[in-house]
Amino acid sequence: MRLDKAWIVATKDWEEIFRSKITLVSVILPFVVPLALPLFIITLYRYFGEDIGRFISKSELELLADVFPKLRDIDPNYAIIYLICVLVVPLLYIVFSLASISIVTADSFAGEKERGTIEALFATPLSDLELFIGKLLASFIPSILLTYSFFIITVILVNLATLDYFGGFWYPQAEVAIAVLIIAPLYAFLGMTLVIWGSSRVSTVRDSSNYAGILVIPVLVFVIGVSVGALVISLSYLVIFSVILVIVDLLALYICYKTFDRERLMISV
Amino acid sequence: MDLVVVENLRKFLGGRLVLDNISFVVDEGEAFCLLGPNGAGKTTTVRVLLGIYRPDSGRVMVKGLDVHENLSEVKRVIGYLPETPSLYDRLTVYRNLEFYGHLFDIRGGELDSRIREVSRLLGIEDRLNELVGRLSKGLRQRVAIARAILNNPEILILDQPTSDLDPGMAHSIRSTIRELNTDGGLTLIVCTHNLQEAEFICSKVAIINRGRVVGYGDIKELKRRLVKIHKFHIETLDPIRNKVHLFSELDYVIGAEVTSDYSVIVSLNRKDLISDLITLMISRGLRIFEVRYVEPSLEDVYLDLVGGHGEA
Repeated sequence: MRLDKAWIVATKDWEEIFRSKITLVSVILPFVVPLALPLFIITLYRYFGEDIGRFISKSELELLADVFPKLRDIDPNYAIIYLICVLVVPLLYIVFSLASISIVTADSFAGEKERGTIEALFATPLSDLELFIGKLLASFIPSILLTYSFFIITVILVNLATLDYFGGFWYPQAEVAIAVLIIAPLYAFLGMTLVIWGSSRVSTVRDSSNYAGILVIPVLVFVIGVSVGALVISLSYLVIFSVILVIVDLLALYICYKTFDRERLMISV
Repeated sequence: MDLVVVENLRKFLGGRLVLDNISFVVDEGEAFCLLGPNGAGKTTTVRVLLGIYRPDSGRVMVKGLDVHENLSEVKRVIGYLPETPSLYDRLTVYRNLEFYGHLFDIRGGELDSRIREVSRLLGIEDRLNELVGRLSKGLRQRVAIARAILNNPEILILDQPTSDLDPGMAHSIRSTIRELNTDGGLTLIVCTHNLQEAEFICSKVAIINRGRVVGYGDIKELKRRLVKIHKFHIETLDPIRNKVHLFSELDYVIGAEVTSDYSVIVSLNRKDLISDLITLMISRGLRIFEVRYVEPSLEDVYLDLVGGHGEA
């Protein structure tokens, strides 16, 4: 296995796919949501004052604090900002780390087959693993770059916009950082591995996209469910979940690579 | 030297036997043709040769190496032009060639000079910065051939290299391919159902029908050996049109086609019986001006072996 060969495949895919401005915009645009959402809420606070904070009553806040004890340390007026930033934003980053790039992922093998370019690629000395990793990198690298860049911008803007509310830089907490910087890429890696494997077993990008939905939704529900629980409960749960995800990712990559079949890809109709 | 050896190759696809005991040998420097109708098994044979498909039984050797045990080494000596050009429309010609060059470990200045060399050879040197998607079919095919020879292969495999091209462009591509063999010394394996193409480019052929080799050998030799009908063009000094009924009485005459008042093409089942026929014609008062043997074409061999239609 030579990583430089995989890199050659990935760079070719970027050049080919991102030459289309529509594709480029459709990949970047979803990341505006987790960036804009907390800023939108903060802006509402600026316009409507602390009335917004009263959307959650004191009794509801007490109930929430039972499962999310950190809320007790927060000024109740800013609980909504806190909950959005700590619970919703990381989950959106997890979802979009895969969903935004799914157009590229689903295209991986099915696109090569649909455009009739796969056969010449198979005639080169590329190994199955190099090809598979190349396709994985083509989706994973843009996903991780976009997730990290937009999250860093989110962190800076949220802290600057709430300096007077929280009295300093308060965001992100360790749980949030782990969820976005570790869980999101691990989830994206797992989803991409499954989608690329699926893409190698169908003949059109449309079929591949359908396949992606079937394969990824159960994984997404599981990761979101566990992440919410772990974000609420404690840091140690998130760390344990991250380690489990690493193992699952490697296992999925191994199984998908081992069951990758050039012949099947060529004859699938 | 035997460069490619295919022995008793069998392959099932989707539960159907598509290659049944295929065997042939391609010598170094040879232009070899896999000829057959659509669906005969030509492309499947090539895909097994390239290691894309695994054989169910039999062996495929390239330069003495088993293809499936030495995939990476074997691929380095093969250039391949699939039936579709297999180019990336959104990349420039140069970038397409550069991508494949990188996959064959050609880098930097060496790659750049190689790209310029093959582009000159294929007449596309002034198109390097154009997007492939904006090129005509003929030019795309030239780019695809440039890509196939970029790695300086010893064997060039071409699957239907002129399908979908207009006659002028097809002829130009065929000439280029033939030059790669005659001037460049490249061993060629050409898959085609086009008899004219096969005869123009290749000297040896394996005729495949329904997954089986039904004819194999030197094209000239094959024509001599396999053609069971011998045609003679006979010109007379006396009108022949009213005497054609003479031929129908003879069991060794398969057919007679009058081409003018003074000429006829007769088909015999034995070549040596032409003297009997001429003697008979003279005895019936026909003065003979000329008798000419009509060389069988590859088409005659093909139609004889495959019939008028293959498996669609």
